[in-house]
Amino acid sequence: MSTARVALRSNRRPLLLLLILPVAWMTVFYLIPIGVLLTHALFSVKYPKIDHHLTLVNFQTFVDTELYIRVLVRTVVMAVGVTLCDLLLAFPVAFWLARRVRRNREIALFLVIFPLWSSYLIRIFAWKTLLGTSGILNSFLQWAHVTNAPISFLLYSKWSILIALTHIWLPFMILPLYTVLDRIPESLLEAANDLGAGSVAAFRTVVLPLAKPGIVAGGLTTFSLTMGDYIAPTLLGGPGDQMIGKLIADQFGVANNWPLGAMLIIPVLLIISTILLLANRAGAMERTAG
Amino acid sequence: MIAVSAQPRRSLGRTALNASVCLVFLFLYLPLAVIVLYSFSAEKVNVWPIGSYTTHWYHVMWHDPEVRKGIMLSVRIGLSAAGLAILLGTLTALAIDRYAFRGKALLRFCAVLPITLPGIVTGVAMLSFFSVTGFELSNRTIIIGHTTFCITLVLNSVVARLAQIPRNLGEAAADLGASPLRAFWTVTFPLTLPAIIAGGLLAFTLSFDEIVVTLFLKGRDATLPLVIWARLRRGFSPDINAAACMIVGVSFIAVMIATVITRSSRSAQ
Amino acid sequence: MAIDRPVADPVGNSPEALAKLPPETVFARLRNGEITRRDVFKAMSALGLASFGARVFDQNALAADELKMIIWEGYADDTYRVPFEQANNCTVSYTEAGTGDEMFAQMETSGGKNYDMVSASSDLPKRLYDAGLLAEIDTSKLTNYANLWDQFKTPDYITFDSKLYGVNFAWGPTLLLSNGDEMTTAPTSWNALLDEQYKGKISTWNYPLQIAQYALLLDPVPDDPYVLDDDQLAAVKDILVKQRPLVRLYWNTGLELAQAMLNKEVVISDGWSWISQQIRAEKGNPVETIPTEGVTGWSDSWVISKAAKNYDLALKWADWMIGPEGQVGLTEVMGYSITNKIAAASLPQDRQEQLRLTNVTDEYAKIKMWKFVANYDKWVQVWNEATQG
Repeated sequence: MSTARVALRSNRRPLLLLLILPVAWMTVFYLIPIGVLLTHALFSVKYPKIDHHLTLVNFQTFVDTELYIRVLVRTVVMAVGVTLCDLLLAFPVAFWLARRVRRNREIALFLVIFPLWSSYLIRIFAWKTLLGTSGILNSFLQWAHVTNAPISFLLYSKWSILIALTHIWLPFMILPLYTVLDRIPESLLEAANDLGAGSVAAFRTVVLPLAKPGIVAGGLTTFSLTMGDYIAPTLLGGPGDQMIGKLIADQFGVANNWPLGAMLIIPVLLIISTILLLANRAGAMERTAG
Repeated sequence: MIAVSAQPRRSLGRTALNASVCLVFLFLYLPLAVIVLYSFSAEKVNVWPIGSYTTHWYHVMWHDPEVRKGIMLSVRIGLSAAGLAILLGTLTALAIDRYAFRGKALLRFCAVLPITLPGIVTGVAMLSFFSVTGFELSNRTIIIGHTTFCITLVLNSVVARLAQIPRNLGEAAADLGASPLRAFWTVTFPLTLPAIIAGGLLAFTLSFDEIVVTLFLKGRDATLPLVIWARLRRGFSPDINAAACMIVGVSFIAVMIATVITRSSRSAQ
Repeated sequence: MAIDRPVADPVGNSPEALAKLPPETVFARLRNGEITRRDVFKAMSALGLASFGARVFDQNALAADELKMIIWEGYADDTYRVPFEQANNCTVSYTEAGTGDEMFAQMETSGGKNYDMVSASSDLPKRLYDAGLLAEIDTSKLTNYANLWDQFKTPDYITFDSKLYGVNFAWGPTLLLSNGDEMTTAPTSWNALLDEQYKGKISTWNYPLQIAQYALLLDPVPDDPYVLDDDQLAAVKDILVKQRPLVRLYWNTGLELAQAMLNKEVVISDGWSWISQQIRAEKGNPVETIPTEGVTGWSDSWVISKAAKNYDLALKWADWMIGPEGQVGLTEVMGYSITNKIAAASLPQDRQEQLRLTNVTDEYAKIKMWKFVANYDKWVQVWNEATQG
């Protein structure tokens, strides 16, 4: 869908004014400290100090140890899974909020957010009770005669992590999608319908392309949050379910191996930047209006 | 003919939409229902089935100063962090949307880093910084930490919305003699407001729940998640369940009241 | 229009003096005319705006002295903290950490400036000492020190270079816990955690230090389970890999294990006595066993940061916690075994037996206390490879 592109201003002064505060903030409080931390990837540990001779030993460890690569892949797969599930679940709600709810919209919006204010940790423990072998879901399934023995794979497995993280990040996908779907002119949808397109076709050709910025916004957030989270996998996962966040965190504790920890961060950075570049390339970050 | 055959397709789509919305809301509220249920359970540990019920925990929670202080602090920090994130995120979003410059992807990349990397990395990095520069840890350092990872939430949301707003609207306002600031305030801002609010809500929520970064940057006082986190080592004080319910309940009532007030003031005008 | 300053004590109402008072007092004086608004503003600027901001947000900013500590949950319970605060006119600010990793990371990253003291389990003090973060303990200032059992006075985990760097105040073994209702006979060996008959219902603490516990199963048993060569480490890794398909979950917090055992997700695990206490309180039937191979355990000591702002107050707290009030308080609040023999003797006999205090020397000797592990980062990798790879 081509739109006439109004030329972007290249007058520098307002741009500088806009960016100076955020850039200064991020640089001082985050980028410089993280930068310093990342330089440790080139050093090594000589107990109890850091040996500041440049070395590639951490890179060697990362490449040689099957553990790190395997867990990294596992984390990316989970992040993709959670993002897709969230997308699937968020779209109907966002659409409904944006286009079907006429009055009391603020209340409807808050209804989406409320569950989040019951505290992350408490909700994780609630999922334990829901998904456990003798938990609520199993009791219900057996009472309804859907199953006659308890299902144990729902808890302390990748499934419990997927379900819990999908649940926890869902509003982070719903809200950005909603704000974007809100702006799609009703006239476009009506035109599509008049031209004979059913709901599905109209959705595919009209709604989806225009919703791309929202999908990117929600998807980027959800994907990143999953990559960085390690509390849910630790509390809800079983053997072999841990994600890269915990492995990184371990290096900054008693193990005190900042060099290896810094090294493990680098692939995560590369993954996220790749995603951003791909999204950019696919035009998902471009404007949809003039 | 076309109208008739279009109708069943439309209503089928409508039913499917309503059904899926209901299912998603069910999924969204399921754990909350469990928490409400267990806030009335007499046992200290979440076992199923529940043996006996009591309202005792609400009483305990009411008199639990740590939990109360934790909630108050979490709310204060959440509002401050969301506010600052709204400021910084919106400024950045405007820059990205309205101007041509290299490094837009880099800006978004930097903004999203704090939530991509595990909390302990942010915590350790920022603690190092505060330590080296002699900044004393306090609730202010928590706010700084939280703001930093909340920026991307507002940024993502506002950029997405701005992408849909025709730029010539602002230009038209400028042509009519409005200064850039006024053009922003009267034209762009109202159209972006839902995205700002959405981003702010998410920022508040993420801050409200944050554990690891907070642990590293805290001064004397503990936020609610830290209180819960510490108690988890020993065992649940089940008044936490009651506290969670109370938070949700109070917010619900607050939103209701706010909506009623704005509605009546609007109709009064 | 300036109001004349009332002829009150000028020193008493000087900006510096007012700055030290709680705001309520200052405003009360303003209301009854003792001071003027200008005095209040002068006091605020004497404080500096930064501190004023601190007062608005931080509630305890005004106590005369402040002691900051990072501790395990329960170690600053009101029962023993409040009397201490009142007796010493101070505030105790505490952060409760979830793992030893958090404690160490905070101390290390902040150079020990954030906290005056730490309740360090026995694997931690040497690391803190080697990082130059600990202050020596002046035992002459500890009034209760003489009443400790001998093995707690200068144990090797807090004695470095013949000097004492910690005050040992609580300890306990890591036991084999099992569900009495699900088992006909109580297990007697750590091998029960590798037993096929409990497949899918086994748990173990998710912490690399547990390698020492599994090292007790090696043949021949290592002299020191915390010093393992590469072969021994590889052997333990094999044990863990063998165990993994039988494991339901690796528990991280006591509550998780209690809940898992009560919900019958898990029938056997390693754990601590306060976890079985909780299970018992919820009508469970936990069985505590000390296996034939022996046990590992924890022993907590108060260590003081070299950068502590208030060394003497920190020492007073350590003294308080090894004194009768602190020690008995600990048994009541946490159900831990303590280190002060006079305090232990003051407990009822059955409680002493429960807390393993009737024959401390033997009980304590049975436990291979957590120790500093030189190649701990290697342990972390082995543990993660075995359990998560």
